[in-house]
Amino acid sequence: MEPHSLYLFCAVLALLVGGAFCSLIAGRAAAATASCACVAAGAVGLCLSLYLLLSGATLRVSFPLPLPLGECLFCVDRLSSVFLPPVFLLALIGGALLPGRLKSLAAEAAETGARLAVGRHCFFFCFLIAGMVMTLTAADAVLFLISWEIMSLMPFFLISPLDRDANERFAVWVYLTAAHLGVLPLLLLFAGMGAEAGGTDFALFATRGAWSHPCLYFMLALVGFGLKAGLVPLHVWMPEAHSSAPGHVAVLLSGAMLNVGLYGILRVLLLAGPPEAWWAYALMGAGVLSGVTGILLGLVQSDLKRTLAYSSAENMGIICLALGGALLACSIGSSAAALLLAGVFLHIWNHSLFKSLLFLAANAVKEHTHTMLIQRLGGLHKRIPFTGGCFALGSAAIAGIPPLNGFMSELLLYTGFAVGSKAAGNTETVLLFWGAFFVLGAIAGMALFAFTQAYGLAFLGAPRSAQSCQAREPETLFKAAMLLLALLCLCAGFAGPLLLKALSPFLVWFASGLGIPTAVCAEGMEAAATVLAWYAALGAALLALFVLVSLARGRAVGKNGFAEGVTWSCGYCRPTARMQYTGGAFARTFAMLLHPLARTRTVTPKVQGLFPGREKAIMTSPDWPTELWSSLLFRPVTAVAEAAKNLQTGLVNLYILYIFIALVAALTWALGWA
Amino acid sequence: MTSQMIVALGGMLLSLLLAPLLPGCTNRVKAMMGGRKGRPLLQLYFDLCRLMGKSPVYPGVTTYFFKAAPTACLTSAVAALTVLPFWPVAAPANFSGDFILLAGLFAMSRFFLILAALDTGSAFEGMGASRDALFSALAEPIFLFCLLLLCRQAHSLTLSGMTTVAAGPAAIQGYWMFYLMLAFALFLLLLQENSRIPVDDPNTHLELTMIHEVMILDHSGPDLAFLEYAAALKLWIFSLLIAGLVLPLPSVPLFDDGGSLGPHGLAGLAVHWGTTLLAIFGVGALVGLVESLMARLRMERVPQVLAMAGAFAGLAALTLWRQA
Amino acid sequence: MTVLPVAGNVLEALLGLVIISDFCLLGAERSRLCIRLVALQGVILGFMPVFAAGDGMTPWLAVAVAVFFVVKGGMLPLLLWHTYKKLHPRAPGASYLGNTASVLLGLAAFAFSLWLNSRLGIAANPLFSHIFPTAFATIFSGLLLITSRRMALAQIFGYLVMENGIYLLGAPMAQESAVWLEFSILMDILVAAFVMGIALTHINRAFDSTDVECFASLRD
Repeated sequence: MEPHSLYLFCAVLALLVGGAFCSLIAGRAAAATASCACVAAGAVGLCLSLYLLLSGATLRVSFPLPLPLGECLFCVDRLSSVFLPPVFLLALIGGALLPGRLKSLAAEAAETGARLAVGRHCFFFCFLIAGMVMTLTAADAVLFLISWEIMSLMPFFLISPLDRDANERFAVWVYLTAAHLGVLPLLLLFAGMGAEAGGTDFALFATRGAWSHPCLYFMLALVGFGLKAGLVPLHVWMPEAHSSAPGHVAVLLSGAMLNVGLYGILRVLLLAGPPEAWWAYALMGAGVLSGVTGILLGLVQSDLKRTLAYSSAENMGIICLALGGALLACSIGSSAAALLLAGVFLHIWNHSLFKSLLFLAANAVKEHTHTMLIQRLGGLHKRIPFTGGCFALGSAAIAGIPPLNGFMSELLLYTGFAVGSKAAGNTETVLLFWGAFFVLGAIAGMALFAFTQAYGLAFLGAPRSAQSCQAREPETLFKAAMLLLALLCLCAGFAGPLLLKALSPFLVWFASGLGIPTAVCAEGMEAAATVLAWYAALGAALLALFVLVSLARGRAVGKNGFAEGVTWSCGYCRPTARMQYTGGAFARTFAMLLHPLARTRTVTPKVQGLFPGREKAIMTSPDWPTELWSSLLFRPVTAVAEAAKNLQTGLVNLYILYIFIALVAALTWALGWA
Repeated sequence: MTSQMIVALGGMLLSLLLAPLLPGCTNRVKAMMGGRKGRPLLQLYFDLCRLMGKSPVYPGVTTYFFKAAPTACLTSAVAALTVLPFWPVAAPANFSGDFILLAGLFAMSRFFLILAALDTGSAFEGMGASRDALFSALAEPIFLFCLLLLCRQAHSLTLSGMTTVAAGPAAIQGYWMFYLMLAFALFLLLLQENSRIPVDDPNTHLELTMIHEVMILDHSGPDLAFLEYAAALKLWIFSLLIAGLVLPLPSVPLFDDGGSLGPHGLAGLAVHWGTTLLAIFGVGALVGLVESLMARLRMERVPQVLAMAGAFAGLAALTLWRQA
Repeated sequence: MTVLPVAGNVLEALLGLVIISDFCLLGAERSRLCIRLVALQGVILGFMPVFAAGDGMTPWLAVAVAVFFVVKGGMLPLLLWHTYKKLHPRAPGASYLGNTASVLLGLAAFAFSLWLNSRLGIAANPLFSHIFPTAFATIFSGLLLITSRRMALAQIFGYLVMENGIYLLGAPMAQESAVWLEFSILMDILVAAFVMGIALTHINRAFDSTDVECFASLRD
């Protein structure tokens, strides 16, 4: 442990917390203060976490704060240092964008007469980042829960700064409910572990070999952390919150906070001792459900940002599926485990990059068009080519198009499943690997569908409404942020071998924590390195070939010259922009084909009479897991609560009767049974 | 550069040169079945030459993607040839997991083609794009799964190791049923991915019923030439894959100890290449046969073809399990 | 395996073709295609005793093969074709289950017969365990066709496919006595097809359709 990194870590925390409080009292300079604090903390933290990841050092720092239980102990070990870089990178970007975003929010507030509390917004923003950093580094169960609560609570204040309409209010409400319910399993988990281990220090948990109920702990962790990671059917808060949040918040929520949920699952995997066979099945099952349902619900959405939010559920599902596969490969001692783990962590990073890029671009569009509905957009690329290009690159990356980074990690996952199925002995394991491979292919196919639809319909073609014509490029800083993320997406595809090299000490450490022998792990890492090297080389060749073919095409076109015309509409001479395909039509066949999972509803009016009036056909794709939860859980609870309200009559005599009954009951119990 | 690599690159060159002949072969079979004389076998070459000399027309609403799609489709098809082995040597680029890259390259061309179709803002092209996106999304996992099954059977994660190139006829011994099922599934996927009957009719004139053709409706001149050439290459790639899968040829050692190609090896090479080409054109003829014997299906029934392909992939998996 | 390697491979390929035709039948909707597939299956099955007999080829067996070939590959499909022409079925022979579901059920049937085969242990005749899954799956698909199809003609396809499966099951034991037993079954089916063909024509005349749902009105 080196004192420099220790000081730097303390400085990061101090910057974030200090920035938060300073922005509260800074008045007009609040945004600038918070922005400086976040950027500085992000930059320092990014360097620090990358240094810690590469050096493999562990940082332990304890603050002498009087907590009621446990102690204030932070520990940046290798697992934390893998998850920290995206958080700091996005803190940097989010912080840099904060003043600009707040300015445009303030302008909108002045227009609509809404109130915007800039200082408080900055305060909560700084604390959101601080909460994430603390959660990722807490080494004590109580401190972890406190940090978790801080992190979970902050988006509640940040999602809807202007409180625009009922939808946003609903989003905030759903978020708060989900965040609170999600903490319950974690409370039980750490209470159980702490009681058994006789302390709350994670180091104490780690040294304890055998737990009495490891399966229970694993399930609690999967539910509690899965809710934060947005696994279907626990994702209900995500489409609402992510689509309402302003750009700088959405970036952090989608690119960093979802990862914290995954971090929790991985941390508990390391703490809960040797994994049991069915954990792999549970993770794979959760992954399949989340991946398939997530992307399917995503592709039937007509709101661009909701599509992005659902695709987060899909990507978290892919990661879960691969994690389950890694555990399964572990149990048969195959080198596929290392391949899959490498794919998992690279995918976590990649997802942070392209999802935040997509959210930024979508928010840049929303700022001027004030709508995210595909049927109102269209033709954006011609108006805002920079934002359009960034969104296109992000779509290509997330849809798994070589040579970008999305396909890089998916390639590792596919290869891992293939290696696992080749090595597996018994039929069930082979079938599981085959199934996982097949599902991954299906998810990739659907993701391509969803993102060609999202980009093609919203950005290409002709504008479908006047709102779409209002689109303008965002300010320079915003563009720079998008450019940075886009370049990272592009370069990460070619830098696969380097990234793997950076990750490999961590992967060996993590794999040994799961009980994979070093030799097997090394074999898997070597295979992964070969695949990534080939991918980078062929990616470069592909790019070169693309340039060459473009030149050839350019020459041919240049020689012959070209003309500009109108789109061929099969003989119809007055096509309008509204005749273009829309999201509903594009995805309709798919939604019908997989109706049990998509649940698209169509209301067609009955046209009567010779001269029918104006009618509306409505096609909606409600989030059916939300409806499931409300019918299973919330409605019964509400019914019970409603019934319980009858007890409160307001009659004093009756209240005294209650006291009397309670007294008699207590006496009877005390004397009769005790 | 070793002579092995030279032979592999030679195979690639052969593919690039002969690919436009394959649709001609299919068309000739169709014409013969219909009692017609048919267009010349080299028709596509003439078309491509003619198109290269024409000046294109770009719809006003289009952006960069409309122009990038032909380039991207051709690039991905050529890149796919580098991972695909051409008898009798391994592909120029072969590594564990290259078969996934093959699917990725197809995804790349699809991505650009769908965007180009949506770029025109035409309802018809949007319809075609929607259909193509849907059917390909359903076909992709089945295609990958077919190749995954081969992985386990051939104990190799590379395309070159999976096809009979490396293993020779011994690999197929006792696994006839498996290879037959797989070839059938892949053939159905070929029909889908290359928009042939019964999934799509390449000769239809009605935009409402098209899939692939309607997506490239607005492309013209060199752009259309690139797209047509890329489509021919894609058909060639699928045919080569199927031919490499089921061709039980004895693998004669071509190279002597020094790794160079002797006169004996040259003769062997000629035989191998001849047989492979014969098999590829055989697949092309089979496509023509199917096209003349079947009607195209209604759109809503196309997923059933893919379900059929999936069922055959499943059957192949079961036969593999039986043998194991 | 008792058969030669080359013959074994061809046998494998033929069995594969039988399965392919089964699945195509399950997925097919048009009667014409079904008749073609049944004919194809008959031709393939006609070859089967050659492989089953191995070197013990006797003149009697050769005659039997020829007869099977003619009846299965020629006569029965021709009869069906004849009936089909007479019926002019307007609606295609759609399945109650839907084509995808019936194909998937066929897949399940094949998996089940593979499982059965693994449970049976090693049979005295190694060829038997080789052929068994295909034969059993064929019987299942026949049953599936009979139960799931709407048109009476399609049910005859089901019977034929089922018979093909039974025949395939018997092929490994192609001693002469077994051949005669098989012959008698085949003749039964032939007669049944005749009767059904005639009956169908009459039913068609009476109901103006051969939809089996119409038969429900005959009860009581």
